[in-house]
Amino acid sequence: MDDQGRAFLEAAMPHLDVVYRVARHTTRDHHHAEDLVQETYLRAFAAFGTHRGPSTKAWLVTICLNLARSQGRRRARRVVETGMPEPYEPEAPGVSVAEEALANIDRAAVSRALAQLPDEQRQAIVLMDLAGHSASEVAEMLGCPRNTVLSRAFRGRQRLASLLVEEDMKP
Amino acid sequence: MTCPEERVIAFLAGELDPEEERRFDQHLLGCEECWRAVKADRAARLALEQMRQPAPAGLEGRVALAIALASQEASNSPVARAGTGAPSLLRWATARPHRPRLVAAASLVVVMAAGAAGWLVADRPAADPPQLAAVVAMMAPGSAPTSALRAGEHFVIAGQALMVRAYQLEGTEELVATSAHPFPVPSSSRMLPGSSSQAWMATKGRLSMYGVNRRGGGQSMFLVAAMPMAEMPQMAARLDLI
Repeated sequence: MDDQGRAFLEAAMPHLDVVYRVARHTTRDHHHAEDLVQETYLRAFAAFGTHRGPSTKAWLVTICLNLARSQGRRRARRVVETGMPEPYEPEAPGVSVAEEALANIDRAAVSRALAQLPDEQRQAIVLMDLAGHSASEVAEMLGCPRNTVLSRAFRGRQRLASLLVEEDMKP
Repeated sequence: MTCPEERVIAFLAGELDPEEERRFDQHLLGCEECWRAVKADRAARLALEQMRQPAPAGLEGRVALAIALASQEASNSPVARAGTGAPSLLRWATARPHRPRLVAAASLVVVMAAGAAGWLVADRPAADPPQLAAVVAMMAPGSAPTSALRAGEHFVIAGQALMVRAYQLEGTEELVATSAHPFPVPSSSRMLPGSSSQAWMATKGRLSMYGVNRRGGGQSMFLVAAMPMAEMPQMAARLDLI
């Protein structure tokens, strides 16, 4: 491998976990997520010479999102950016959130609940809470106002908590 | 919500000034709706923390191999000739011991890189396409179906989507890769005459390779097997893939 390849791996591989998390919750299953990660890294490698941004992580995640969106993968979930405010339905009153119970809830249950969220809410949560980006970074990646990102993440978490409580109350 | 959502969001983001925050704290004592929203947000964040899991063990090796092959194609110099291919991959993969899964990934990379390098050691005038190198690497001794590169799955290598399948015909194992796009043709291959397709054959040690690229669309095919090269077209026809 040449110097360019080694330099790329040194810069990009520390972010593999984050890129995989984003890919995993943008596609239907882990096989497609792994394909998407590999393609992301190959695209990034091809453009590595022109990468001048301050954050390699944000750059990789943006490539991953663009690939997932533009390729129209047959089995991928659609990643939709409408820029329109989403209708907000308050959660049913009377459902109280048991923080301790939700903190220990099964990872698979969280994954299922996450998959039930509207695309734009799940995307905001994945980019902020799983990938560790700030609201400003996510706003730049998605090309939408920062307040929209915060609102989507907030509404998504409200819905997620409600879904997890429902899951936890199942017999 | 009855109360302005923006205030709750700003409170949760820690963006209220001290006076506003003090007032919102007071508000929370009397507003059940806002208190429930704050608790739900925190609970969801707690639950999401456990979703920060690492990538699967084999993925690092798979991505590293793909980049190594793409890098080799870009520089157009055979890995073996440069003399840095497998060792540099190994060095890279093992240089970060704080990632335990690299033990498995590193051994995978060694096997994969050894397979690819072995192929390139043969007398070939130029680097071969990474798509073909990856499929051939799967046929190399000890590297056949692994957790990171298994037959029967879809791969994207150097930007080309491949489906790779393993077949057993008359006691011979072969790997067949199909793609909606034509495969790149190795520089040292022998072209075969054909009116509706571009076909070529090549050898690497005990392995024979045969490729058929459909003109004007349709599935293209690349076949690797440990069998006489002359039998490859007949074998490919029996697979009934294209």
